[in-house]
Amino acid sequence: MTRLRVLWCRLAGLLRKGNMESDMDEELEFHLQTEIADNLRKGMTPDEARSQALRRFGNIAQTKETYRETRSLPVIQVLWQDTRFGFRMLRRNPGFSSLAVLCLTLGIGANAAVFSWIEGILLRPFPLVAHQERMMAVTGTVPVAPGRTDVSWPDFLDFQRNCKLFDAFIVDRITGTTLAIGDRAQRSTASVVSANYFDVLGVRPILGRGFEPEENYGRNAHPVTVISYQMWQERFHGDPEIAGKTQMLNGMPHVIVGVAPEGFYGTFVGWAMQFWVPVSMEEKFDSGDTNWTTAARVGLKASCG
Amino acid sequence: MTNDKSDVLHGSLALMVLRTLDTLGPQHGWGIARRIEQISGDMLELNQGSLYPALLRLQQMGWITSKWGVSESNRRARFYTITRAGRKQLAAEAENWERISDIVARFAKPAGESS
Repeated sequence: MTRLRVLWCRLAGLLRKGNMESDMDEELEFHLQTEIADNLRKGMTPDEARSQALRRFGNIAQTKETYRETRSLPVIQVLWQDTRFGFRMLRRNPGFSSLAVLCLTLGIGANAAVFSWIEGILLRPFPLVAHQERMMAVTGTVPVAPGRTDVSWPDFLDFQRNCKLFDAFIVDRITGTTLAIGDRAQRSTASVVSANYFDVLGVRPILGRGFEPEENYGRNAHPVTVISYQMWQERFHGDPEIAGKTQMLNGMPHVIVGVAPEGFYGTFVGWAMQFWVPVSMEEKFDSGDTNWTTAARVGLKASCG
Repeated sequence: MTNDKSDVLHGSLALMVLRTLDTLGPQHGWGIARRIEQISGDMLELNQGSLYPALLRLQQMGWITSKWGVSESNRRARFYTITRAGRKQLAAEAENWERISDIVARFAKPAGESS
């Protein structure tokens, strides 16, 4: 506790130097004068009185220096002085300084770029997804062919029903459509996802809702969509009444039921999804795939690895 | 000025200052120095200058406070007062020193007085 108090006092001393210097001078001067007066009373001559007082006191300059050090934080002061000196030296060699600054800029910039790239792809590829350490990709193998395949819908249903190790399965498939922006057309990437997609990922739509379980079923029966935050801002200008409005997707009007939170871009690395539709609409968004990219979340009772 | 004199001084300056203020009440730096010299009977050569950084440290620890006032000679001077925390510290240090001197005394006497 006292340590904190001392630190606080010293910080204060560092920041408001003005008064303290003159106060110190005045206090030490008072001491000397009193000692001299006392010596005179004892019968010394003025010269003797003064020199005796000074001798008794010890080295004044040293005392003042020790006093100043005790008053503030010498470490910081020295650091500050060195920094200023460094800057002065830099100013005197403009050629060298600008070269050094240029190199530093390039180096820092390149590092930042590479790191954010790596972070986006390897380290934390899915912003806003909960429990990423428990999410696993699920793939299949075919006995006669090399490589891995994605999971078929019936298999997905089987997994959901029977697999005890994982507590949730989700599927999605990348697709896209062309949207008209004024009189231009723009390609938008999207995902067809299982109804539990948003729930399992822990992504809560900021407006409206995610998908309901029955929206998995029925061919083209549920033309609903959840749009991304970016699309909501750019295309619909952040309209607060967006839920319930329709958007034409691949020739069929879809009702917008929700808006995904800012920063959520779906679960395909490298792609920013603009909207999501439920599995029941997969015919409308046929991308030639018959299988599904599947992911599963390991149950709390199981362990990974 | 031998070595042992300054050793004793450093370790106990806080104790001496606190005791002085406890006994005399609010006092300025010169008065404290004077009193210390009196009590120690000139056995210690107090480097008066070293008193002031010590006083500053004691203030930072919260054991004494200071205020500007007017001295007997009608001059502006800084007066120091002991605080409650300071009194606690004084008691603790005094007890500490007694204990230490007790132990050391047993060894300082030649063997033969074993109990």
